[in-house]
Amino acid sequence: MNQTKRMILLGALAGAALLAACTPAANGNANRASGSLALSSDDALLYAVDTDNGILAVIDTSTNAKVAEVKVGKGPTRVLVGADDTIYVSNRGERTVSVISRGDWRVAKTLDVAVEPSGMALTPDGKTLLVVSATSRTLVEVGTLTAFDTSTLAMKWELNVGNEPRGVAVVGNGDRAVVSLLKSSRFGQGSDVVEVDLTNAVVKQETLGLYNLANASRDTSSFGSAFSTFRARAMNDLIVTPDGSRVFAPVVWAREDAIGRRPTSAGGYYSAGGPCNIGAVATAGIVTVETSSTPTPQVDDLTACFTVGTNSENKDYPVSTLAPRTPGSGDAIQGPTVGVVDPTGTWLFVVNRESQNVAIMPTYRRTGNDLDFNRTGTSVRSLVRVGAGADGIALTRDGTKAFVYSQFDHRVDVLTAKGRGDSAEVVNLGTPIEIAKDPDFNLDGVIDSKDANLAAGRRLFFDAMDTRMSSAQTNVACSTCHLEGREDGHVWQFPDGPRQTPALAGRHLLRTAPYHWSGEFTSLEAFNVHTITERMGGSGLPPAAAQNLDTYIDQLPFGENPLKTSMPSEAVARGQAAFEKAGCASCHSGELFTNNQNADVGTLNRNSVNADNGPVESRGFNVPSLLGVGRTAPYLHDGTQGTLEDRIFNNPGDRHGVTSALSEQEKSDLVLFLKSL
Amino acid sequence: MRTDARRLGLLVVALAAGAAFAQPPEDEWGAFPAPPQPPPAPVVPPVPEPPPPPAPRVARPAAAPPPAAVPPSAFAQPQQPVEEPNTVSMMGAPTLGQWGRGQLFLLGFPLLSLRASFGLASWFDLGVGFNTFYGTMNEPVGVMRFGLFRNDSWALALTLEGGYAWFTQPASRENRGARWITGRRNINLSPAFVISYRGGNRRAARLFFEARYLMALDTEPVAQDPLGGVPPDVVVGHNGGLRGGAELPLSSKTSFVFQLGLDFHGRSEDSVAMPVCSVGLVTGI
Repeated sequence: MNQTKRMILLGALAGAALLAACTPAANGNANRASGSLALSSDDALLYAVDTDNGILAVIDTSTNAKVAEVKVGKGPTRVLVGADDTIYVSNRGERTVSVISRGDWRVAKTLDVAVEPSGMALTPDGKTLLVVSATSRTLVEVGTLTAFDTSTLAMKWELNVGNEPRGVAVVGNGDRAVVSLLKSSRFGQGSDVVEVDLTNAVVKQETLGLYNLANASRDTSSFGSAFSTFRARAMNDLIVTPDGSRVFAPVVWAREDAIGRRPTSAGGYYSAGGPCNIGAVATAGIVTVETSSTPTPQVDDLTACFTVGTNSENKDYPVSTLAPRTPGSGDAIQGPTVGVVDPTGTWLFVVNRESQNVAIMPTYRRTGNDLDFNRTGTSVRSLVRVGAGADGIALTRDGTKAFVYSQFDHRVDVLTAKGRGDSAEVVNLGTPIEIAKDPDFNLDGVIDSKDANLAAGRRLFFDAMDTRMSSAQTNVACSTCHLEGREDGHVWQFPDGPRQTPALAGRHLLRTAPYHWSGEFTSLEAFNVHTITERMGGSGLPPAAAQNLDTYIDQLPFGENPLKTSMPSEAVARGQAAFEKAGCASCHSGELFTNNQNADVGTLNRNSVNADNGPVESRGFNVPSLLGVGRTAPYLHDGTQGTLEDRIFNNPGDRHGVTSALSEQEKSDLVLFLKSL
Repeated sequence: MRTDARRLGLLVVALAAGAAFAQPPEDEWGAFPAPPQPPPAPVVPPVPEPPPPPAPRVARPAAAPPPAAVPPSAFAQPQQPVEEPNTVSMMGAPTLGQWGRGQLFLLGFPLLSLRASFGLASWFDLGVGFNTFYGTMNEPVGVMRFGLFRNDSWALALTLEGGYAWFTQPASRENRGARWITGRRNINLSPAFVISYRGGNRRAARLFFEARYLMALDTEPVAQDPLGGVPPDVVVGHNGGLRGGAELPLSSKTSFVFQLGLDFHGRSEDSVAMPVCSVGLVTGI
């Protein structure tokens, strides 16, 4: 009996000792870098892709000196390093991925992918490279995920994954991936995440239902309820934790309820009105996604604000809105692009291009001695300034240093910690690593110009901190809504009615006066005064700066189009004939497909709560250019037509083109023609 | 050799004490409430006439001395059973004695605890237990108690408790949770000195006071500061605590127990101090 008791005791102690030896295993999905920066596996080399110059710069991290430069494809945007130190660069301007081996500083192989490749990821075993492209090789309305065998660099499969995808992360045991959509899923409710089964190369879920979760308590019975609803946009990147249990997606929330006229002194129309009174009508945010067998977004209910800030302090994920701890002190967070989680999985770093800083917050909590959630409603702990156009970040393996690449300054900032404990800060060492100098570049890698004024205009376009452009209460940039210089698919409820963000890129702004959907601004100067000072709350630009901005917008690179070929297909040619037959060209005329006039084509929205009013009631809307129209869904000024097919096949009374004169085939051809523009 | 001699001495003392208190519990519980057995015949000469009824000793007049050579017990009417002393201590310093056993249930803040110990020697107890911060931290433990000194009133012991704790929340998610409150981490080793005092009454309360050190080994440390570096695989934390309380015997085998105290935490990310307050039962049944 005593012997038995002893055995039981010894067994219990031995069991406890064995369990003590068990520690959770990381799944290796994490990447310590994102966007335009990456580190070699031993941290000895830092790789930076410079979009303007089309290069991969190689930096020795012990000396911070550039030791090599590799000319890659046109418009390189992101770089990824495998465990074997193979380097992959996605070239957004030419549908390729450059493959480079460490030490052999030249492109060893070029992979053909679909249109405008951006996000890349490797499976944990390193055997498969995943590349996201904005559109497929043949369709404008859907992007792709392409898989390559890293040993042979042969394509394994390619899959359509939704509208305008940008980021990708591998989750689970490497058998699944999630892909971020920049503007909207096909369900038309803003940015979302698509889940892909990598084993069978199929889409498992087209949407995770982010919109419904973020607006869970919305009052659908009336317009203008206590709290507005919000759509997520600008989901550029997906940031995975080291254990693969979570993915974070930077977004910009866009207000769906009415936007009132506010005086410039109060920040203009766009100030305030953010989720739970945080931020402006367009507010930076972060969405957490649990990557369990059924990925689920973790997001605050933006339509149910209990106290100051957003929702409960008990939630264990970052607050879904990104805001500084000391708003109004010159700090702001706007335009999140990419991010990374530190090697311990504890801290999330989000790079904000428009506010030119990096926001740092805990990955699994929103309160604590080092945070100020209850007072400010934010879980951001630190903000540190970096250069202009920041779109890349990399963290060293030991978790003590971060590098941030600023495309517009062509420099790498080095961040490190100062102090310890709750008062510890992250600081910019202030000794950036120069990669290139202006004007040795072609703007955005595709604009064939070395004009420094254009570069200055680009800085203004992406700057939410310049108080000439936007007030300190508002902190929005042109690019906050005109994502990538294009559009965000969002319909704003302005005082004069619903207005969709128009696309700018490739439409030659200087040749399309008058401006705005209403066409009420006959000159660009008047347009600038109104938009910059009255809407964004800025103090206004001097003429030279305004000219730089306007010139940049005029020359913004056109979104690539897989259907735009030197030899149009027969269907496209038939569609062009249908375009003429239906009389579309009477308004959408000329090289830019607009006659720069107003026209009432029966699209006035008179019956909604926020009905169209003002000049459009008598003159109709400014005829928009159709260039690049295939990638600008939804359609019409109020976004009521989700697709071009909807638009063409739904035209009562032939007021918007004589489409009744077209056969079904001709209508289909017409849609194809429009997509090819 | 000196240690062996001391242990032997302690063993002898414990055995002697055990023998002195030895009485099968079944006899006591089985006898109650049966009429008391007559006391053993006294070895004194019989008295010629019945004694007067017993009276309080303080009230006895000095002018009337008691009959000589007549023990007071001889006048008990009826005779109550002799109260067996309570020797089962789980919170105090006295060990259980060889082959003795004891169990403890302690409910309070911050922990709910269970213990079962067994006396492997008169001076040494070995046991297992379980601590929980009400589900958010769960820790099976092994416990040892070494008796260092003991007399009728005082006892001193060294206890050692070690266990592996599971937390429902990863450290990175927790904010003012089980780790912050208890100071515990994945592996916890806690030696303590316990001193006990018990009054002369056989059912007197056993007071105890404990000075405890807690070494908490964190096998999943998190980076406290951004860019503060990756912490080592194991981070050792040092904590201490002072606790006092009493075991209040309800019977020869069972006591009500309470304790109050204060724990001190050495990690900057934990609470500086945390009160301890518990009630429970100790039993040797």
